[in-house]
Amino acid sequence: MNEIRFEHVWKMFEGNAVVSDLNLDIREGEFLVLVGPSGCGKTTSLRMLAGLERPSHGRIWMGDKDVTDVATGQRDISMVFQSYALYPNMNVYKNLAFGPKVRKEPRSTLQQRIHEVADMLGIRHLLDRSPAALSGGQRQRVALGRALIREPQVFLMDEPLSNLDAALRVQMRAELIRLHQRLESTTTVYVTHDQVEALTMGDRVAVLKDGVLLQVDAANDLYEYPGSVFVGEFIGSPKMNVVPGTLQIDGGQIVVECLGVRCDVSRELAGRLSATATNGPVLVGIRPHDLHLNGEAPSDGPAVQVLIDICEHTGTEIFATVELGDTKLIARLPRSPMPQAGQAVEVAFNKERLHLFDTTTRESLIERQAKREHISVGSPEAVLDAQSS
Amino acid sequence: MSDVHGMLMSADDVAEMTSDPVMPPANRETQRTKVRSATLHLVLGALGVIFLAPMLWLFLASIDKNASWGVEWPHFSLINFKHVLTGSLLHSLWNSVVLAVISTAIASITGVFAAYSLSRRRIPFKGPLLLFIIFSSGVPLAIMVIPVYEIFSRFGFLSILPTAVFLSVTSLPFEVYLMKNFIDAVPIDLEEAARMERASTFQVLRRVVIPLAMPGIAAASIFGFVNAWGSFIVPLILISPANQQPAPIAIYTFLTLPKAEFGNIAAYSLVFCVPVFILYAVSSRLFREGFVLGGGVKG
Repeated sequence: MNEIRFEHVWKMFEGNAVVSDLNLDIREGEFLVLVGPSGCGKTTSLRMLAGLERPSHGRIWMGDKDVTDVATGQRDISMVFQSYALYPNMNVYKNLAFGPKVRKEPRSTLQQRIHEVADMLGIRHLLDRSPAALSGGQRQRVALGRALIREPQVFLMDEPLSNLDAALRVQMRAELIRLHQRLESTTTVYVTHDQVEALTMGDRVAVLKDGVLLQVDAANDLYEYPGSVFVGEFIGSPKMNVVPGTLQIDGGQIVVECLGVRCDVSRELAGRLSATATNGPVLVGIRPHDLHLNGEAPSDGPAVQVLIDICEHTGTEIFATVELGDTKLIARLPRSPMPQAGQAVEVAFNKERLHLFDTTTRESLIERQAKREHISVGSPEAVLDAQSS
Repeated sequence: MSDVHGMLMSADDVAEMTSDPVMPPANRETQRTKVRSATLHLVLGALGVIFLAPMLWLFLASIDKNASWGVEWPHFSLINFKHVLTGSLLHSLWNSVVLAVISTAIASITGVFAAYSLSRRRIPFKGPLLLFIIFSSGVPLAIMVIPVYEIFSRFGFLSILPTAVFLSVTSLPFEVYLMKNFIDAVPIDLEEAARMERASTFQVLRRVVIPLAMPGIAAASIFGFVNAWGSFIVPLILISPANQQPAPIAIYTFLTLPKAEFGNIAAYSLVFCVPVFILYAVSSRLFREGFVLGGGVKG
């Protein structure tokens, strides 16, 4: 009953498509995160699901019911707003009691329910306070409590952690995950612009850009198999290095040339190369974690000499911006010997973890499963066959 | 080099921590600023006295049984108040209360709905409509009262209730505009949150919007009340029965008497001011509290 389906949903604002042809299935009990840069249509999508905006085209389904034209109050959903939207003229208790009161739910159990929810969120001692007398984290909890009181089928959260300080955000993140695990069958749709939040919280993550849904995947798959340059760069921190390169499918060998060096692609990666890949220019994605000091990793490709420009210390790691001519790359470097700006070092990339993208469509040229597995990388005919087909 | 610098810094820090902070000499006013300030106060004080004199007269004359037009030490008595709080004068005050309360109630209630719609709903030509509302709040009553008299006399409306309705209409544009600005300041998130809880528009208004826009609604209501309470020309022309005339007309009739009763005029004027004073006193708490939007939304 709690699954949600967006079916060819469009939202137009003054002739501009804010959401274009959104098709998305959200499973019952799932924690789905909508992530993307600001203006990508993630909040608009959420508001359409909430019933606060009406889709210009397409339908939205909850279970087997078309809710496109169902009023927001009738949808059995609760939403936590980015601003929390607590009623400042009511104390915490009245804020929690507001929904049940306007829905004329029986008063006999109301107090008990409020106390249960307040205990669950640790806000029992705050029930008499006004929202103005609460800290950010406490307000956040009250907003959550107000959504929980309803015991909805679907929980919507619109960047609920963006107004909290960093430490509290991490704490609330864990609490939200725990809460979602407790409410087994409740589906949660969560909007954020923070990819770390998306990866840590979501069962699946949907990446949007300019109103278009680019990819929906489990967090790890999204990181390992980015379907496009945008997803590759957006997911993962620091972002993926994308450099121009050339792909050569030459006989049995698949060779990638980038950063001025040639490198044989591993057998495993070659097997997953998309059928559309052809000889010629490609975009090569290398994650900072796959760019090491030469000799540090076992499967490194050829090394290149670079100049360290800036070092960013994160405590556990050092991310260095290194220069190779005009190209700037981010590499993860070890803490000792401590790298210094201006120093020349040799870095090598892990050739098993290259990402290849088409230069025009900017989509990935690497398949998730080895579709070419039956093809021997050593057999030139087979590769050429796959090329021509 | 950097180490040496670091050591010097830390030595400085220690010295600063151990010695007491030195306070520089106080900055005193110079002779010139003193003279300038004294002159200013003198001029402003004199201006203040000129404006206060009529008030002083009003108060002194009201408790003087032999009051005249001059400001003088009173022959203390409450006889003036006793005179004005009887008979038709008292009845005129009552008429004023009826006129002002009805007019305020009508303007405030319709005003809230109009202001809410203008603030939140998509209305065609909203911009020009708002401009029209602002301009119409500036139209002088005097140019409207004659045609309205024609209409009222044709329909037999020349009495207190239709006049109260007309007065509410005259204050409505300004009230709507004022209330709209306050409702604009209520975050839309709060309304959406309430709507998602299945609250009807009326519940949203009653439980969320009106409580939060209360300072503005109160300010608008007070404006409406004072507008109707002090109104002279409209009731003079539009109310024909003598026993429905409000207090401002009664004050005016004092002046038409062959012998001016200064004491009664002063006492009646003071009594006439009392409701407005009370209103301001009661609502000042509301204004001081101001907006209670704090803590509701963030970001």
